[in-house]
Amino acid sequence: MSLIHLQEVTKTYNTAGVPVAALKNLSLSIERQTFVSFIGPSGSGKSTLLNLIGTLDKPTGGKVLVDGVDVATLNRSDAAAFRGNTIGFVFQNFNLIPVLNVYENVEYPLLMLKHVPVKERRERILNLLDKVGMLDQKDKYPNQISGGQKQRVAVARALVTNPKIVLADEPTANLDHATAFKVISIMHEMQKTFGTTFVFSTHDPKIVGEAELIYTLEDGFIINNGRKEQNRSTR
Amino acid sequence: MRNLIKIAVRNLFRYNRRTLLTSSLIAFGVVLVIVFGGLAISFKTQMVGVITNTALGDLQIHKKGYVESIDNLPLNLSLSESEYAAVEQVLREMPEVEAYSPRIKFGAMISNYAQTSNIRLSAIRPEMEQKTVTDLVKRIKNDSAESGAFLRPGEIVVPENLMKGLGLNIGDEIVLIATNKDGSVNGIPVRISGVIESVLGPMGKDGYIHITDAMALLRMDKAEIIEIAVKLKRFEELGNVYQTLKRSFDSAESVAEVHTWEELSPFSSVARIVDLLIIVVKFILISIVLVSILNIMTMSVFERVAEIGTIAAIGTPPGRILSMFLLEGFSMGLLSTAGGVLVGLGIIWLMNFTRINFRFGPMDVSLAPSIPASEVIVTMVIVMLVSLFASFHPAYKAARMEPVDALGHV
Repeated sequence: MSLIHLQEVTKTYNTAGVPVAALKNLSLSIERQTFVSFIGPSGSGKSTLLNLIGTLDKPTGGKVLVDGVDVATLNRSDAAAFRGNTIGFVFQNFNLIPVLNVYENVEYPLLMLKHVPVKERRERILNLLDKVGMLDQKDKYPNQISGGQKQRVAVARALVTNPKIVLADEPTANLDHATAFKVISIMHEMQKTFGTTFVFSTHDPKIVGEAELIYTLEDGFIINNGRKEQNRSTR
Repeated sequence: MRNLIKIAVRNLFRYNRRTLLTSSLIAFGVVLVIVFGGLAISFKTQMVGVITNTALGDLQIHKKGYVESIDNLPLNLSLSESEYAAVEQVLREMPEVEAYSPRIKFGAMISNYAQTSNIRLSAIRPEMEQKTVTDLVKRIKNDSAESGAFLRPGEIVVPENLMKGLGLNIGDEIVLIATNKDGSVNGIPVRISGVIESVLGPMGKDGYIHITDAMALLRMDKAEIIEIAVKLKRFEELGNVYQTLKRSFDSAESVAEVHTWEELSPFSSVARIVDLLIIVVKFILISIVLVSILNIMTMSVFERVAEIGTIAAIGTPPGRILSMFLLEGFSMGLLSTAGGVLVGLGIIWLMNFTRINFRFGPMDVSLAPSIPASEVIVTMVIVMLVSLFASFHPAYKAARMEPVDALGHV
């Protein structure tokens, strides 16, 4: 069974009383351990799709199954627990907690999972910080590091709970090209190392080329999808 | 929990100036409660001490119905020898009772042979009176060097205003004239041995004579006791002792009734006003804490909407978000109250060091403010509980935020 399965999913928002469809009868499946990208212009439905997969929002119609769980059936607490155990997030604005240092930011999701012993927790954090090249910055606070470094910390934070999926909404939008590539390559490396499924959205065609599977969205529809090689040839 | 506290405290100090201003305001409220409470309690304790230790005693026992007509000083509502003995027996069996003093209270005329005035007399056994109202002697200026014998048979201690009004001096002889309960009038000469400053103010006309003189004046074969003043070993036992005595006098065959000083002194209403003022100050504190914490926590939640979205997205359950903000408000209350208590106790220490002396009517009051530990603890608990209460609404709002909306907040 696919790790992520969307079946005729629609999502409609009510904007000032006017219904606006963000996703229209969208169906797709994402297998385990893949590196998937959603590309499309602003308002195409990328973020909405990631929010639905991330159990942050519920579909208006259709079914969203993540790791076999129908996200529409989860209440607030169950959804939080599900996210904590199954999904890691990387945000466009990094969203590190300003009062926690680098080490503590990575540690935070683990504190939500009660069963991780202190020793294992520490090993996991240091190992990840080492892998993303932030070990020597572990005592610094978010306002003391650069954007690229923040996003590397965010990647480490997303991976620290050993999630099955990492969702990254425009993770490189606030980074320069070189840093963006570095972050994406770190994500790629992590995907290979931990076997995590990475799903990210972007509107940067150079970055999207790094994905194994690319979906193009427009006005709430998938207008194109395919493997990396296929996609490059169609460009 | 440790991590939640860490995050809460760090968030508090994220906006140093704002936190400092708010906690200063709360601390000021705590200081107000502690210093005002200390002064008010000290004032009340001093006043109650003056009243109970120089005149009333902690409790008084009378014949049933006497207190209702106390202004008339009725002689017919007295305890007979056997009734007094029964009451005395009860008092002797109570370990909380330090001393007691029987009195005959009556109204009389005082004459210097040229002028006459009225006087309210307490006929006492000086040695028992002195053990019961220990500070009475301090208010008497007399010609006796022996403190144990401030009053002997044939002597009278006259209130200050009568001394002045009648132009009397210590050592002068005056005549006391009184009507006994049968209606017959009698008079006896007595010598002025001392002058007393009344605790009841310049209008006070309370004098003291020996009980044997009262018996002669009122033509009593046996002492008919009107009033028994009681002193307790510990004033704090007042309520318990009062209840015990009340129970033992409740039976139909008992002729006595007991009253606390509060029921007999007009100062009790002043004491109640003081208590009321302390409560008002506590309400001011509650309002300060409520408004300050509610304001700072509401601002804190609205400034951190995206952050709340982030922590919710990465798996923080709503209950944990609620706890996080409640802890933040609670920590604010705790830090402020700790600071306030320290400053408040410091001010009380300084006041004790310098001492505040003033006259309250005829009484010299020397304020040595002190606040019971229980009052400090109650104040701290109030601040902490109100902080939690005030934080609840903003914390609940934070916990109920939809992560997807919160993350999109700019």
